[in-house]
Amino acid sequence: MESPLGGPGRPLLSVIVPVSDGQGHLGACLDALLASDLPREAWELVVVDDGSLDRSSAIAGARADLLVRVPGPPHGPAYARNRGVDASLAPILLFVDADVAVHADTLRRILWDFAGQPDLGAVFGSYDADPPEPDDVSQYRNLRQHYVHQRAAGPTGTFWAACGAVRRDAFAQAGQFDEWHFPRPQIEDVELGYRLRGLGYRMLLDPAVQGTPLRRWTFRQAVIADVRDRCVPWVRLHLALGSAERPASLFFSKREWLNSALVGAAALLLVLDLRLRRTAVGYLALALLLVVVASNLGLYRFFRRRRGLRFAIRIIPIHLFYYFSNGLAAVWAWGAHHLVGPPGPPAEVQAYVEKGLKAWPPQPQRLERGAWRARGSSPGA
Amino acid sequence: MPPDPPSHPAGAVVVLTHGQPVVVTEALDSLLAAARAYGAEVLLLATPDAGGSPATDASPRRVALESGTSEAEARARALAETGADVIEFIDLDRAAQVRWDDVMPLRLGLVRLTAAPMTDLRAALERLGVPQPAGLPGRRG
Repeated sequence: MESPLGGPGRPLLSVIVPVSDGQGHLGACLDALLASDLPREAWELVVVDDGSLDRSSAIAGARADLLVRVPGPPHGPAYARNRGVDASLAPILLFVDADVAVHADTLRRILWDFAGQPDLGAVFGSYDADPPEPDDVSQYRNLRQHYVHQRAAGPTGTFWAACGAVRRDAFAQAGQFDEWHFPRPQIEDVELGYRLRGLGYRMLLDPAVQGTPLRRWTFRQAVIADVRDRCVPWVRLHLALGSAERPASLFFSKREWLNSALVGAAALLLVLDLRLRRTAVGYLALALLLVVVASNLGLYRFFRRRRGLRFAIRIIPIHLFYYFSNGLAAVWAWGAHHLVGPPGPPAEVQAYVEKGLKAWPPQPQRLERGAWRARGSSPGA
Repeated sequence: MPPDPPSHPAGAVVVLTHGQPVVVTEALDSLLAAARAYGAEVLLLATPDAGGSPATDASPRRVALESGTSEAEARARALAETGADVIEFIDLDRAAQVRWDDVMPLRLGLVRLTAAPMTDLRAALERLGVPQPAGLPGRRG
């Protein structure tokens, strides 16, 4: 196959789907990709099965052009995506999560984004506004992501790998995903975006690039994901980066932190009110919460448009709890940063690397360059 | 203790025939030579009546399928047959056109592709007849 770009057997776009025990949605994810309106010879489908114990390999094998099976326990999406990139051929790499069903025009749009802007390093999109899981928590989480990304459309300083593409040369220059620090789904995509931005690559949030989020979230899962896998590592990363290198964030803006602080203060006041029985303290707490709600009226209006007024009202306590848990997580992360320092890889991985042992699958790689080396400390130190 | 080195092939290329006759496996010479060189295996999924040249050392491993086997079933058979960790699925006619000397070491992770030409992307899309979507984002920033 002579590709249009001249290389033998080289597609224009490599679509890389990491999966770990994802049989529930993987078929729909891959079927959506295969229903893309981009000619099939222009792209390849690479699935990396990261130690699945379920039928993910079989589902991928029935549809993919290339299946990479990583044996052993899961190494995380950063690692899996890197192995997919290693085995792929195209000059543009699109990462799609195994629980996202891209729209038919997503692949075509991404290629045209790059074609129209040769200096573009990366482009990503958002979830669409029609998440199929009907429960409140799933709707809230998926719709909130859509709302935040749509409002932030345009040039950006971050990256999102649930449906995001990057130039291969930029990806290589940045040193791939940091599989060393992120052994599970966390903010490995955001961190990659910071490094791309640091290298001077321009990144774009194209609001028309969309995928349907298929995942169902329980309240517990949402809290764990928001606190343990997003907020804590994000704060620790930012503390390690230092103020000069901190780019803006889609989810962790100053306004959002202010809201977390207000909700935290309100919680303290409510506790005081219960102990002191001072009504004025309780009113002050309610006033603070009202300020937070008022600052999010745009979001609640969006919720009302999508799911109705009752849904928008039901979501307010969940949203306030999101701010509260983020505030607690930030305090925890601040303490961890000052007491423990930057996080390292699991002890077993570190031992392998220190001994210089080679094995299949390859052990997670320490970045040659990277954000975590800020302030003169080596990654994983 | 570190794990033992893998005893299975480094990779596998599964050639899908879609029931079409395999008249000349010589068309796969490039694939077979690269597979030999890099320790990969080639599986040819074919129905018994697909034909083909007499087996030689260079012949791909034939996985006999019953007539009417669907592509998904054929792929599942291939997965069951190989212990490789990197498995490529490719149609017979495309397999004959790929320059496997270049592609196989990339697939197996022996060579890392760090750059690829981008300058002709627009021309490539136009050549493929890929229409430009409406409402491309502005060139802000």
